[in-house]
Amino acid sequence: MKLVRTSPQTRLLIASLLDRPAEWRYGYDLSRETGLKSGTLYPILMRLAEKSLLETRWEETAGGGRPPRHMYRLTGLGQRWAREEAQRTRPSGALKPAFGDR
Amino acid sequence: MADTLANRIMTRILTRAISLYPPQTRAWGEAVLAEAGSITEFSTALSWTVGGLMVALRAFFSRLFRRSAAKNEPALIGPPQVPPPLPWKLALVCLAISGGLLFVPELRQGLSVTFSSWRSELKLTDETALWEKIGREAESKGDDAAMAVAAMRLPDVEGARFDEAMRLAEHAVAKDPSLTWIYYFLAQRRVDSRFHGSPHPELAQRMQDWDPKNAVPYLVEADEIARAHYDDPQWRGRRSISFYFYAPIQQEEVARLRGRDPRWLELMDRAFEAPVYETYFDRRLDLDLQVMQRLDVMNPQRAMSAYFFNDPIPNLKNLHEYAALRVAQGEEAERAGQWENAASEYWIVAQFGQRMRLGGKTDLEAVIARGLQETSFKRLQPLLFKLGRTQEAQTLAYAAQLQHAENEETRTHNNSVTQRLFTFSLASALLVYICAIVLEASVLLMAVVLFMFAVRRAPRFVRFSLTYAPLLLLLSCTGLLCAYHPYAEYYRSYLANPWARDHESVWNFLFLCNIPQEVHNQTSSAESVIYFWWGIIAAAGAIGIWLLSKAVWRTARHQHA
Repeated sequence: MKLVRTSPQTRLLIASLLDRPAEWRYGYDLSRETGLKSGTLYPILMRLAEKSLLETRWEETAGGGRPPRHMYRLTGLGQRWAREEAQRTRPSGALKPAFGDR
Repeated sequence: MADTLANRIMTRILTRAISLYPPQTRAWGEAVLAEAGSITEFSTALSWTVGGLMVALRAFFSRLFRRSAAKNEPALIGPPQVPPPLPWKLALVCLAISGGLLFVPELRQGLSVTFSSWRSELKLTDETALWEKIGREAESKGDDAAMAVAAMRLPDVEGARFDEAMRLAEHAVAKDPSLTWIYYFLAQRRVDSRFHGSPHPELAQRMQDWDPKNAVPYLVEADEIARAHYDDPQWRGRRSISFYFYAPIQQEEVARLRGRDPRWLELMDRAFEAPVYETYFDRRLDLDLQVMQRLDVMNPQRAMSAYFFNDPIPNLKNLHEYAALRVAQGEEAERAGQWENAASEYWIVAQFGQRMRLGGKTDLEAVIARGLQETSFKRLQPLLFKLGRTQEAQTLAYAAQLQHAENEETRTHNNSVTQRLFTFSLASALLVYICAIVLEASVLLMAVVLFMFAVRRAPRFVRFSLTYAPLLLLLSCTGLLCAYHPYAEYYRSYLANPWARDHESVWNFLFLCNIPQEVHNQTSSAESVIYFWWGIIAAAGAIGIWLLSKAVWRTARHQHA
């Protein structure tokens, strides 16, 4: 199944999403975990969502007057594809976290 | 993000960046913005903002270039999608500033110059009709200056319209005899193919009577005699003497030159001994500009072209042959021990070279003159030592050294001018054209948009075009003003002092006027310039119509849906 071009950055992201597949994740958290900057992360997220590999939703309650955040997790199709990709290729090594340690 | 000024600015940037996304993906911009609120460190927030802006720009450009991207992009469910309002204020400000800039004369001149260059590229223009009309009107009004200018501009290289030009010239000179010099430009017209000589040999005689101290009228008649013998092998000899570079000649060549028409020899004698060398360049340029200005037919191209227009110089081959004869005679005298006679022969050539340098207005004349001086100085210097005129010889050696240094400097200068012309000048001229094309395209885009809006009500297309066309117009107006400014300065200084011999400025300006032809020459081997550019315009027009019809069709479908 070849749905999205799997660059090293894409592989890092799907590995991170695959870690806790049921959990909804924020963009900034994914960025910190994978070391990807926003300029790299969001185009990948957009591409995955476009291919229905990623589901997205808006945070229901936003506190402190801040806007609702956007959340992401792999769809069923996305999880199958991510596992196949993980078997086919191994991540090219962890990148340095973009914004310090978690 | 902490509520600091820097963070507020970054939030503002990300908020504005949302409008760059196409409506279907705008939620992604909001997602990036929403995350920014969770970042506390300044450097991290800055990096996030820059990345978010990059994503927005990427989405913006992919919308421009991707085919029907909208239907494939994920539709996110998020806050309600409200299309950003049309930036009317920005558009109006841009239009107002651009309108104001169009009142700057330099900008209008830049536009006019580029327009005229395209016009003359796309439709070959012949100025003959204009000068014929000017000539007729001047004749009926008795305007001697205008008649003189028309007379100089009318005949072509094959001698067509020569009789009409001659009639105008005679009429002008009859009214004002100080215009007799215009005969020089008629006599020097290349009419060999029809006449093998001048159709009006009396012109040279009239000039000699009017300006007897000038070498040029004698050279004109000598040239006519030589032209009549163009096909005569006896006249030409076995070894052709170069047009451009002086070279010493053999004994048999000396005999052949001595055996030439005595009238030719007499005329060359008088030319080399005349105290002045003047090709009437300044008078012709002055009269040209003055008449064009008075008759309101002046434009930058015409004014600049007048600098190089019709600047004939006497036949260089004749000059070289005669100089070689005088030098050979000097060498003969030297061998016979007649040193004073030899020195006198060399001095004649050197002095003629000096007069030519002072009176000549073209680079070629300067090169030839320096060559003649160098040749004679080389022979004179040892001869003067032999004659015991040591001080004179030392002064000559000093002059020769100075001249050598000047020759080197001129050569270096000419090389740099050529290099500059095809690097900086080319880039700067291309910039002028690019700005002018963008300016015209943005005006055209706005016109099309208004037409579309009136006829088909295409809101999406209108929104896009009205947002960016005024901005594009403002940028191109500013760009054109800056890029054309040096050329406007060249033109101003040229009009203030046309005889300054600032060849480089004039060349730069004429190069700007010839950019369409230059681009065509560099990019295509097609013979006709007209077909080349018409082909490009037709292709660009077809692409434009295709894109436009596609936009209209898509908008119509969208509205229908």
